[in-house]
Amino acid sequence: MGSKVLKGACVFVAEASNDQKGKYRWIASLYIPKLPIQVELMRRPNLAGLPIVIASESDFGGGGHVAYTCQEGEAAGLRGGMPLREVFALCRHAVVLPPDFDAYEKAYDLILNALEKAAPAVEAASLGRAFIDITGMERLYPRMQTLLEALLAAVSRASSGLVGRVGAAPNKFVSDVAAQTAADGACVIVPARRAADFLAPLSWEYLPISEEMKQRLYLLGLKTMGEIGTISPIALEAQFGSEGRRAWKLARGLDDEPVVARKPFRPIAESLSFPSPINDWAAFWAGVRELLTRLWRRKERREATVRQLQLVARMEEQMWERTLTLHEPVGDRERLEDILSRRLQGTVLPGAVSSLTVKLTLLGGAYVGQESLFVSSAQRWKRIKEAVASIKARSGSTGLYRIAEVEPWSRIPERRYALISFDP
Amino acid sequence: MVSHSRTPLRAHQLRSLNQPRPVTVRCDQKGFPLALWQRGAFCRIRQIKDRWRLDDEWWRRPICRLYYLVELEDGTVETIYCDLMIKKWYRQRESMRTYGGQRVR
Repeated sequence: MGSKVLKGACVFVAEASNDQKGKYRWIASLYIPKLPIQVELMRRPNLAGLPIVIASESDFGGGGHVAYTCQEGEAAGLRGGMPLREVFALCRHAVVLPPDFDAYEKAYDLILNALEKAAPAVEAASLGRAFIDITGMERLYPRMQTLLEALLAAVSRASSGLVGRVGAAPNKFVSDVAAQTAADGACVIVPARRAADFLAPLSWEYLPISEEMKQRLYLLGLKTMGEIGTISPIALEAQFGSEGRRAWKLARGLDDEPVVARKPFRPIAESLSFPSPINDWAAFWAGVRELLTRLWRRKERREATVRQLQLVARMEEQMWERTLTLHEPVGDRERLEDILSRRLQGTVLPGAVSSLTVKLTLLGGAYVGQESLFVSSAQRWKRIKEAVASIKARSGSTGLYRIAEVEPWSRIPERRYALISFDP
Repeated sequence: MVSHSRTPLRAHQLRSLNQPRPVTVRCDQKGFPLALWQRGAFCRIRQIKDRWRLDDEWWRRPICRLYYLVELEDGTVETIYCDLMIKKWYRQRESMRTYGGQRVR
């Protein structure tokens, strides 16, 4: 049976027939394209139609990068990751905004909460992306399309008008691709038997593979997932290791990763009352460190990483509050202290603080120190660079050296090689 | 002509590798090494396996070294040299085969 495509709100690769209902797993994927841009446009509707850029850092002078840009920006040649100094050279009318990760996370959180009310298991993938296990739910609705439209409506209501796309398929990967290929506010449904056909003409850019593998696939002249699916999985595994095998399976529409639902979380808080109100930053910071130490000992935290925390300081007549969302989950207390000291630098307390509370408002997965044996060299190199940057930030130098040839031809042994400071 | 890149050389950041380390050597009357001071005691030299001479940089500060590849009593093999200009002994990893010093008979 050929694929049936309907123009309008919902696109079907093929409609799930009644006999298929209940037979297969059904996973829906929500994709909110450029969520931060949409959030900024909701706050500042007058910017609609302008090339908007959201910077990677609040301080533009620090040589930040483009974190997100809208369609108008992309049309002007702006891309994510581009240095900010190049933005105005390419697009004179670009509007550069500082990032407000707290607001983006909040909008995303509202969406996840709304989805959790509608479906039993919702997995938060990344900002603007979520997987929803809707297996069995299709029986509650006359058609799959109605169910997906209900999810989109719930998202729109919760976020006061953010536009999303939904894909439904028997597994996470296919549903994610389906959502990405859908039009704004529309959905794409891909039944199990059509998954490979659906993916075949699409670019392998959708595959979650390393840059190194992408580069090699490009050099091999491969263009679509269909071409990857026709290669022997043994050959792919021989070339790319486990990543090659996984890419082959995904390209054929096979993915058995389960939807891992968010766990309900109650913020963990610790408070401290000062014997006499303090106005001194050093004493305030000592209080924050003490509370972090106490929070780290709390059993509820277990081995989880911190993604967001809140500082609340009570003064005589007012309250000072600051919510900090971390760019990446942090599992090490000393590192968290470093980040906090940087983020709170220059903060002026509005009065003498009588009590202080630190709340861990969002936790991530467990902190895993063990590295995989099979990470790609690009990933490994990225981690090394991050670790070196962290060491440099703490101690002022990397403390690393590399061996360089100075006079390798010299007859005098100590003249041949030297150690020079290494800063990747 | 290649233009100057204007990048500072930062020579102070260079740390030379394989620097010679001073060592105490007991010698016989002819100047051949007999024992090497290591780990708080003299260790006898069982055999001199090889010997070569290195002369270089006569035009500025002459370098004149007499290298010995010696096998110690405990079985370890070390390369030591005598700086003939200042009559002091040093330990340094080196092989005559690699860089072709002049063999001394």
